[in-house]
Amino acid sequence: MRTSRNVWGYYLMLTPPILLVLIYEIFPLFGLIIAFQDFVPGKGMFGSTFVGLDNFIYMFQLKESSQIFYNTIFIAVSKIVLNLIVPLIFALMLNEVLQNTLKRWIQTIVYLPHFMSWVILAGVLTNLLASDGIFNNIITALGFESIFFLGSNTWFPIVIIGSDVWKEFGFNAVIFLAALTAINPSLYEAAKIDGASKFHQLRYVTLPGIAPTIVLLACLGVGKIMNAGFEQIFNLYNPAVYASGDIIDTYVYRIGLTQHQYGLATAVGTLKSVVGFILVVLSWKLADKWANYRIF
Amino acid sequence: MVFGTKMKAVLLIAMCTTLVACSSGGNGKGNKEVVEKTPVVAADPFGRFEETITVSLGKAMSVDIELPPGDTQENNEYVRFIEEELNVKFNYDWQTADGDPYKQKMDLVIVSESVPDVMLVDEAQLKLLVDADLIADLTDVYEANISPELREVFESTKELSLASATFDGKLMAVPNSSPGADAMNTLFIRKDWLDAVGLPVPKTLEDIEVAARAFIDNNLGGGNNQTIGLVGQQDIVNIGNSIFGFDTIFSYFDAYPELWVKNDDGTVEYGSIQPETKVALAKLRDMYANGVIHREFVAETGSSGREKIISGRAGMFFGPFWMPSWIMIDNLKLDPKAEWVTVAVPLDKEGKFKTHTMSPTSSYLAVSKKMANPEAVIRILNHEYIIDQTRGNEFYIDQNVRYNRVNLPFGHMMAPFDEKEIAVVKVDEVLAGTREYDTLLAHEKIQYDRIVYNNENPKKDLLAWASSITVDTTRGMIQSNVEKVTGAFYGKTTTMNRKWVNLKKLEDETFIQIIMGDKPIDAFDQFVADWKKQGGDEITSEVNEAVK
Repeated sequence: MRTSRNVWGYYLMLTPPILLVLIYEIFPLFGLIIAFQDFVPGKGMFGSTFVGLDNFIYMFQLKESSQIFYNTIFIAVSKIVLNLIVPLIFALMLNEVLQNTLKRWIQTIVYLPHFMSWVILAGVLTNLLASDGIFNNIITALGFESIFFLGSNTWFPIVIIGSDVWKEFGFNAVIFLAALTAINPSLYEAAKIDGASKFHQLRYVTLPGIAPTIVLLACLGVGKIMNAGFEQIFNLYNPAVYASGDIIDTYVYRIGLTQHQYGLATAVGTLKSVVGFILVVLSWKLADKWANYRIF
Repeated sequence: MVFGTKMKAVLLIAMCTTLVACSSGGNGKGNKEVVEKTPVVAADPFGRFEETITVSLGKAMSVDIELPPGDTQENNEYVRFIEEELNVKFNYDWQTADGDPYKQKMDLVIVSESVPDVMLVDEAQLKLLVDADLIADLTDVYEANISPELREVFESTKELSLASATFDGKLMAVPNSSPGADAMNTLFIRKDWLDAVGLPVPKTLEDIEVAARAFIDNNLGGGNNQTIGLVGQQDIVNIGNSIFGFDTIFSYFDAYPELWVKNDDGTVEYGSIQPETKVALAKLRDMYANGVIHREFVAETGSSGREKIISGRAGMFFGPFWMPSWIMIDNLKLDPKAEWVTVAVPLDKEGKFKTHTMSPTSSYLAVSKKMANPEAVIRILNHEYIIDQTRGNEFYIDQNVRYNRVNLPFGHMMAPFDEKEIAVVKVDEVLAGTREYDTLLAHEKIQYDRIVYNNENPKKDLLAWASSITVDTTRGMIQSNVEKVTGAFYGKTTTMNRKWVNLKKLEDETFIQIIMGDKPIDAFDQFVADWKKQGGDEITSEVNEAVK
């Protein structure tokens, strides 16, 4: 009797999140119907005519779609990979800093950009990357031609990926730092007694210790493979870099929301979600196989 | 107070009844007909309603409103005046910041079908509302209630504005009407910089290039390559309000990109694909390569370009007549020595200055089907127009609060198409002593007062100074050598809804890459072929069908 009452308490605690998920995640899924309709706002979801896969077919017929898909995946994959590697290396380095105050200072400073919106950062970046900005001042001082970062198709993706990594690496490192503290210090002592160098400690104690965290973050990252960062690109791009910077989300914004083509916009969004879902399931299976990691 | 209004209503009803009773003494037969035909509320453009009518609406809030403490954009003397005159109440369902937030909120409201009684929408949204069958047919209400003054305004646009709000012969919204001068760009140039390098005010395109080069070479905007000759931005052409656009350079070559222009054979063609545009692009490419157009124009927007000018780095830009109060005032605050002039250039070989005009209408006031008294909307507009044109400054007279249209309930722009041109002629006549000051309209009086003040105290009051420059712009526009090209079509066709984004992307990308030298000039021919293939031909035939 006592145990069952305890269990009910837990269920009760679970209700708010379940309700939230139902209201904000499950219920809106019915809106996906729009993707198969010629959606007219006044007629609504139930009154608009069904057009089957027309919206999807139209999307694939667009001349730009291959380029946009490529941009999206290229930028997203680069971001995922670098957002895994850079914070990891940073966390490992920070872990070696012995003085605690210094450590905390560094940590605070590097994760500050995470809390700023892209609207503000885009303004900052535009100034930094301008022809008379600090980057170009350094480049010209070193005797090179100044670079038009935001107007060149070579540089634009680099700016996008680089600035995203700069914004997020401090925050992402927090998770790694937490995982690092979970490693049993006696393992390091044992390794030292066996004569392991710093590098060997890293190779045989640290990395295996945080491997599950790395795998988990990689898995979660794969689900975001179609999200290359709307807010960031929208605030930085211009027609000169459409070729390298126009991603699914910015394109959908222009075609769907500014032109009120809700059906088409939903179709693209749905496709993104489906691809993301398949990839998450796949990576979870792989994580289970290789890192023995599973949630359920 | 409430009692007072009620009493008035009762009295009014009593009066009406008496009147009807009196008139019934006449021809019985004719009177019967009148009773049958007359609507419940007699159509009088400024008539007061017997019972209070509540109008619900959403409001875009302006950031820099100027009102005495306690008064807001929703509740101020103008609003109270209209409420009192017509016996209406305004009920604000929601507010947003003006600009994009308002548009997005309106999109949301339309999709969720929870529209207020009155809404200010853009063309695409109006189409949505019509398709969704959410708004009322205003044809009869408009005819019966519009004031003669306001009717004249819409007629001044050669009824272009009304036509754009008419669907299947039914007037579905009241269009706005903005002055045609809004779309015309003149060159604004730093006279003090010209003097510093010993150059005259530019006349031809070559003069402009020479001046820009001289500004840059002499580092007039600060050392280390900081000087910008000619400001540009990523929106290189805009047939509406073009800020820092190159429209005027295009029209110099008889090219009218983004405008649907009539060919000699009577068919309508898209200006961007005409061979003249290629010539203009080649010139712009040259200017870019020579550094006349600043290197990073494509990363610039209207507001970031504005910063460059305010901080005194730029010597020249193209823009519409209202630029002085938007930019130069702030520039002058930082650098009182700055001396701006405006000229309608470049002139072509025959000395002509060519420019395009815009559609008089870009926004619409639509009325929900659910609203019981749509005539109230028209009558409110009648009042708004009178306040806007003549009576605006009578309010808050002792508090020295400047009149601003955004403080009206709807804030719908309704200006005669040639308002600016007429105003400058009248103001000049008063200045020359051939016209009485009292014959000027409110906004013309302000203009006149400011010019006189600025002539006596140059640059003492920056607003007055800006007004003088603004009038100079319009003066440039009414010269005999100005050739205004009007588009044959400003609307949207069905295929445009689907394919325009792609075509626009193709156009923007190609034009900018050509100007920046990333693509050869002949990429233009490929663009034309692609444009036609990807739906352009289809759209062109639809447009030709629509203008017939």
